[in-house]
Amino acid sequence: MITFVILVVSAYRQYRASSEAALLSDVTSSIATHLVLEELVYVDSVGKPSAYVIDPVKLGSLTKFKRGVGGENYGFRVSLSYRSGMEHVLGPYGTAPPADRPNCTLVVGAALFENNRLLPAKFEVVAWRA
Amino acid sequence: MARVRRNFCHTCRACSEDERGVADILAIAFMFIVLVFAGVLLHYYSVTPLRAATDRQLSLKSGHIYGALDKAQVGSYTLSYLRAAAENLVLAQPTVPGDYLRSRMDNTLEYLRPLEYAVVVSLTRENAQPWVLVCPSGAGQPAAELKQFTHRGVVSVTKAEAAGERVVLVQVAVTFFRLP
Repeated sequence: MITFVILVVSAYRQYRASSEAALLSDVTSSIATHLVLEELVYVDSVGKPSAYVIDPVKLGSLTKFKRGVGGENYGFRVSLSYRSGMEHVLGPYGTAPPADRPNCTLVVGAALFENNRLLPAKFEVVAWRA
Repeated sequence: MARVRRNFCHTCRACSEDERGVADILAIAFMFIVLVFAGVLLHYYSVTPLRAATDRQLSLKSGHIYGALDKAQVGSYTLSYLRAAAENLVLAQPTVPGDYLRSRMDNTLEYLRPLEYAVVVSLTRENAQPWVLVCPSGAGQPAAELKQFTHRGVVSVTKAEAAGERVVLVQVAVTFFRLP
C-alpha cells in the first residue's frame, strides 16, 4: 500500500512537470505565431501585409519582450538567422533567459525581406515564465 | 472416506500452514504484478500532455516551412519556391530550370528542417506525374506507421494555350516526419 501511494505521488508530480512543460511549449508557439504572422510582418508599399515574411526593421525596433498568456507573464528573446552567401544572425533581441527557470526554444521557418529580396530564414524564440 | 481425509487435514497443522503460505505468496505476487502495471500506466499517461505539445509544435513547424517556401524567392529569381515548382509541373518552359530549382530547394530545406526530421514537398495536379522533393534525399517517403505532420495548400499557375489563358490549380503538401 505504501509503495502504491509513493507510485501515485511520483506519477502525479511527473504529470505536473509534464503539464508545465507542455504549457510553456504552447506559450512559446503562441508567441512565435503572433510575431511571425502579425507583429513583425512585412507590409508592402500598398499596405498589404505578407504573412511569414519578417520585416528586419520591425524586428530591430521590438521593445516589449513580455507577454501575458492565461493570466501568467512570460518573457521571451528572439533572433533570426538567414543565409545570404554566408550565415547571418539578427539579434538576439531581449534579455537572456534566467538560469534558474525552465525555458522553451522554438525555431520556425520564415522569410526575411532584405534588400528587396525574400530570403528563407529561421526565426528562434526562447520563452520562460517571468 | 473423503470426510475422514478432510478431518485428517484439518487436524494436521503442517498441511494447513503449507496451504496458507502458498495462498499468501500468490496474493503478494498478484499485487506486485498489479503494482508494476499501474506504475507503467501512470507514468505513461503522465507524459501525454508533453507528447501532445511536441506534436503541436511539429505541426506548427510544417506550416511555417510551407509559409517560408511559399514566400521566399529562388536564388536571383522573383518567383517563390512553391510557385516555381508549380510552374515546373504545369508549364513546358518554366521560369526556373528544374535542376536548379531542386538544388536550391534542397539547400533551403536542409537549412530550415530540424536535424532529426525529414521534409517531403509534393505538388500534384490531375493527369500529371507529381513533382516531389525529399530532404534529406536518402530519407525516402515516410512509412505509413510513422507520425507525419502535413500542411496542404494550393498554388495557381496561368497557362497559355491556343484557346487563351487557363488557370491551373496545383495541390501542394509539405510533410514533416521523424527520421527512423
